[in-house]
Order: sequence, then C-alpha cells, then structure tokens
Amino acid sequence: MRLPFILLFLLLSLCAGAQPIYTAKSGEIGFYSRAPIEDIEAHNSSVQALLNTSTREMAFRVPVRKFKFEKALMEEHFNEKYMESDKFPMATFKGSIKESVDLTKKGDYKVTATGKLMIHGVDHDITVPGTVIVKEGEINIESDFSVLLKDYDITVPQVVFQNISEKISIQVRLQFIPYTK
Amino acid sequence: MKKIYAFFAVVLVCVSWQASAQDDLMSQLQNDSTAPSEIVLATFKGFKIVNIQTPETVKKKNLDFRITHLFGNMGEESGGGIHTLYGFDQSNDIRIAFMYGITDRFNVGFSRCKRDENLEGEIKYRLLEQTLDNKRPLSVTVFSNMTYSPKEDADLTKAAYRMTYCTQLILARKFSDHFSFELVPSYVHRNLVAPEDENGIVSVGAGGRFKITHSTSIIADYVYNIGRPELVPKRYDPLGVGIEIETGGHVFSLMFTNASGILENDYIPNTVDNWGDGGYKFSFHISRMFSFDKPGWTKKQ
Repeated sequence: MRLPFILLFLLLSLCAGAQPIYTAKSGEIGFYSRAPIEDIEAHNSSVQALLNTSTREMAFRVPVRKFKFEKALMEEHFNEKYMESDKFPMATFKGSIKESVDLTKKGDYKVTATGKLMIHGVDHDITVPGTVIVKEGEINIESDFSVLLKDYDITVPQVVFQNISEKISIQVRLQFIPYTK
Repeated sequence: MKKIYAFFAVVLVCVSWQASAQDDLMSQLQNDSTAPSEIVLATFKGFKIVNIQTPETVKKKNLDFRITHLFGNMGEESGGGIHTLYGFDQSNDIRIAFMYGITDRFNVGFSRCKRDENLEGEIKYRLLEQTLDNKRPLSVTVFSNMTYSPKEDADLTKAAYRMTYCTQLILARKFSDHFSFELVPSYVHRNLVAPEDENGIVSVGAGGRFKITHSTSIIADYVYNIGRPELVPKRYDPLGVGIEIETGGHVFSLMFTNASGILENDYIPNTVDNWGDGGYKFSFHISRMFSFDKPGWTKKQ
C-alpha cells in the first residue's frame, strides 16, 4: 500500500514543478503617434499578462486609464473622447506564438504572435513580430508593431487631423516571471 | 480500498487543477485583477458652464490663462441694436485670469476684471469625485474667492469697503456621456452695500450640459437669488445659455447671458439686465493651457 503514496507524492511534485504559466512582473506598453503638428506618446506600466510556455498562448489586459501622457489634457481627451475608457476600460490581446519554439529552453527567439487585439471594444485579428528572450526563471517579450485607428472605430475630427496620426506605433517591453497563485 | 479511492480523488483534483490553469489565460487574468473605482472624467468641459462654476479643475502643474469677454446688450430696448452692432461695440466686462493646479484637485487663481477694476484671488478644491461604480454618485467641490476693488471712489474710505467674498459648494453629477447636471448653493458677502440692500446673499445655481453631436453640446445655467430685497434698479437672476464646440484640443463656447459681470461676486448681486427686455449679451473666452509637468520618460525623437 505504499506505492500509491509514492505515486501521489511524485504527481504532486510534478504538478508544482510543471507550472508552465508566466506572468508579467514589470515593463510597459508604449504608443507613439507621429503627426505633422505634434508627436504624442504615452506609457502604461500597469499591464497584466500571462504566458503559457507549453502551449505558447498568451493573454494581455491593458487598463486604458493607466496610459500616462506628457500633458494632462491629452490624457483626458484620450480617455474621454477617443478611447471612451468609461465604456471600454480594457484593451486586450488574446493569441499565441505561431512558431513551435521551446520556451523552456534559454535563448532568443524571433517569433510572430497572432491573435485578437481588442481596443475601444472592437476585435481585430493581428499578426505581429516579436522577440522572446528566455532566461533563468525569467522571460522577456519585446514587440514593435502598428495599428490603424480606423480598424478600431476610433474617429479623429478633421480639425485635429494634423495633430493625431492615423497609424499608431506600439511598443511592448515586458518581463515575465513564473506565476504563483 | 478507501485509500485507493482517496488516491484517485487526489489525482483527479490535481489533473483538473492543472487543466484549468491552462484553460483560458484571459479569464484567469480577469479573476486575478481587482478593478479599482475609477473617477468619472470631464463632467463638464470648462471651468464654468456659462456663468456658474463647474467641478472641473486645472490639472497638476498646469496653468490656465484665460480671457473672458462679455459684450454689451444685444436688444435695442437695452441699448443694443444695429447701432452698437448688437452689443459688439461695447464690452460690459473683461476678465483676464490665471488658474494654476497645485494638485489635480486643488487650484489657486488670480484675475482682474474691468468692472470695478476688481482684483480677485480664488481657490477651488475637489472634495469628492464621482466614481464610475457609483460608490460616490456625485462630486463635491468647494470654490471660494475674495475681490478687492482699487477704483477711485470717495465713498470707499476703508480698504475693507472694497472687498467682497464668495463661497460655493458645487454638487455635480455626470448622468451619462450626454448629460451632466449640477447644483451650486452659494453665499456672497459684500462689505459695503447700499442702505436698502443686504450684505449677505444666499443663492442657488443650477446648470447642465447636454451633448447633441459627437463634439457639440448645449449648455445652460441659472442662479436663483433667495430673499433679495426690492432694489432700484431692479435686479434679475442671471440666466445663461450657450453652445459648446469641442475641437480636440480646444473647447469653444458661444454664450448668451443677461449677467452684468463675469465674477460670481458681481453677477449674483448686480445683474440689472433682463432677457425679456433684450438685456442679453454675447460672451466667449479664449484660453491657453501651459503645462509645467515633466513626463516620467525621455521623449523618443
């Protein structure tokens, strides 16, 4: 009757050791709008994200209100007028890494992530390039891509067309660590 | 046998736990995060509706520079008409003002007005802010100011005679994206008044903003004076209406009001013009926001 206990012990330790989920510990998502009259940028370091190293799936939640702008008025307009963050408080990405890379082994991996990006309540399929850097007990994700405002039903009035770019560059720099409940 | 069952039960729990952990990352994220009570933004678009104060404040380390212009009466019965280009030839009051954000919720300001050459110092503090989850269903803001008139007048024998004060409580709620409303109980005190008048005046203001298109709103406000004595000339309650047009960075307000002045201390006690007699004036302001706040990053060029 000892055998079940030994098996149980093994299984429990397997459960604990095989935890393949990583969570974003630090880092930020920034965006840049380059337009004839002004360049606007904003940074958000309250990103919530999970990465499953065995299925290579990932999920991001970005609280829209947490984007910090250079000017307080810009921040208010961004939330109130363009993103309507009262109605759509979160921007999310749900997707996975296409390439079958082994994220449990150390190294730098050039990958592409594909999935659904939701901004302003509108889902849009995207495929973006990125780099996954696997280190001891830490995974870094870097990605640079751009989105079009019209894909997410964000309208810019004609008068400020010269101030806000139609194409927004997005920069993701996040550090992940093993997830513990 | 019982032990075997127990073993399988544990295995089952273990496996299902691991399965659920991998199940849906997004729902796991949602379970992990607790949403804080978010503050409602932009109950109103300006620091005033037409005449009355709003709960809006200048953000931290920002300076609002503003020139408000109140033209003459438009109606012919009240001195307007074509020969003054409906009041545009006259300027009833002009206010040049600076308002600075010590914090996002606490502002100090200074202004100078044409009427009585009033110099004004003011503070505004947001005591409570409305939250999205309605834990706080309305915002409460305090506004208080003091004016000093340096005008030449033989009757003003003491410095105290030149001063007035106003304190207001601004109770506001943004009901939806399209509609905001506020009530403003206020107390104005003037150190020197005519014998038949009273020094202290209690009034209640009410005002709102109704959005009609993506960038256009109708604004209106009214101040009801409580228990004012009959005076000559007769005093009226100020009523303002206007259109607010947002253009991204700027908000243009085209306003019409019978108020005789721009300051609370002036238009609440001293409004002698009446809408019914053509005593309404056009008003607008130009403003510029200067930001002295440094961003927490170095800008990428």
